[in-house]
Amino acid sequence: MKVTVKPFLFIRDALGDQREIEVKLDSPATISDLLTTLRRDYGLPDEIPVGRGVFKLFDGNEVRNMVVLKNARSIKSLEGLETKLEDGAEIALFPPVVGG
Amino acid sequence: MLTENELKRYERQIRIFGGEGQERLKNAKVFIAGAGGLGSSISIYLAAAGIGRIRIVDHEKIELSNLNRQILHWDKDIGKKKAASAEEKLKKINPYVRVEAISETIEENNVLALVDDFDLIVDAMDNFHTRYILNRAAIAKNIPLFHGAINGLYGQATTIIPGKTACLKCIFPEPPPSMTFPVIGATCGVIGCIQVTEVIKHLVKMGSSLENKLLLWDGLNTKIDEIEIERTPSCEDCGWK
Ligand SMILES: [Zn+2]
Repeated sequence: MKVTVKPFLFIRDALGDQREIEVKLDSPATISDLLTTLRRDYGLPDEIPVGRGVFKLFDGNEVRNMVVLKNARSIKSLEGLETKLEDGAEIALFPPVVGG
Repeated sequence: MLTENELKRYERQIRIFGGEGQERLKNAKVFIAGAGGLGSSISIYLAAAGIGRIRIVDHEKIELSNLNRQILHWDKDIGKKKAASAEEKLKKINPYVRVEAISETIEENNVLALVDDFDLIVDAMDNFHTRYILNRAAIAKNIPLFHGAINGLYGQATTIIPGKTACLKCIFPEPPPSMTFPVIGATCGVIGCIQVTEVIKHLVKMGSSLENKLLLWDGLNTKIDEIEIERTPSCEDCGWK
């Protein structure tokens, strides 16, 4: 299957400033499989330097500072990392912003 | 009715939405949660635009390290309550606005009383704990919530209409970790002004808005993006609505 990954802000910068990335996965596949593929084959790092600090995306296999949406819905309201993917799914990745 | 003086004061924007739009702003009651970085730019522009009644709530006192971004507060105000400083400045910016500044912490048990009788809530908080409280209050009162948040050179904003759009809990079912965030004042300006633009359009009924869209501001590369978002039918805050 093929899914479309849309990274935003510095996660996009870390992936070579691409607006959309088509990723091929063996079926069946989950969000966890997609993230493993992005880290292994597309250079999605565990942490990204931002200003003088560091933004941690992953702690081992745990997702830290990254919001993952599948087809406009948070995976946290679906099945988390075990959320199943289907052909044509759109996955948005962005860092949460909390300050005011 | 608008006075002669008001017609003159708001002349340049009346050219956009007419006297009836200006009347709508004058009749509006806007609740601003927070008088920090976002709250500064939001309240200054809403006051200047002629919102009839503004209630702004913040429990903090002004510290030196606030002054790079919290432009409502000045050097002479260090140590004072943000609410008192906000009230003083906003009344001077526009004496036609009824400003009430309240030095309280927004909690689950006082939020409904605080926002009671207000037409909409503008989120200028710096943490998701309080944002979720505002989110639930907006849904309970059936009034819009204009969300904004910033970090460094980055920011986000969305417009939440209860029962119609994704709420904050739909987008972020769990709170992102709180942190001492770096920021330049201009990021608060960009995001605060986007929120104010959303509020004004909502009140004068013009244009389209950030409904079911999360706007992302990338100040490092000077880019704006939008992410489509959808309601979560099982959302614990808005699922019943
Ligand atoms: Zn919701």
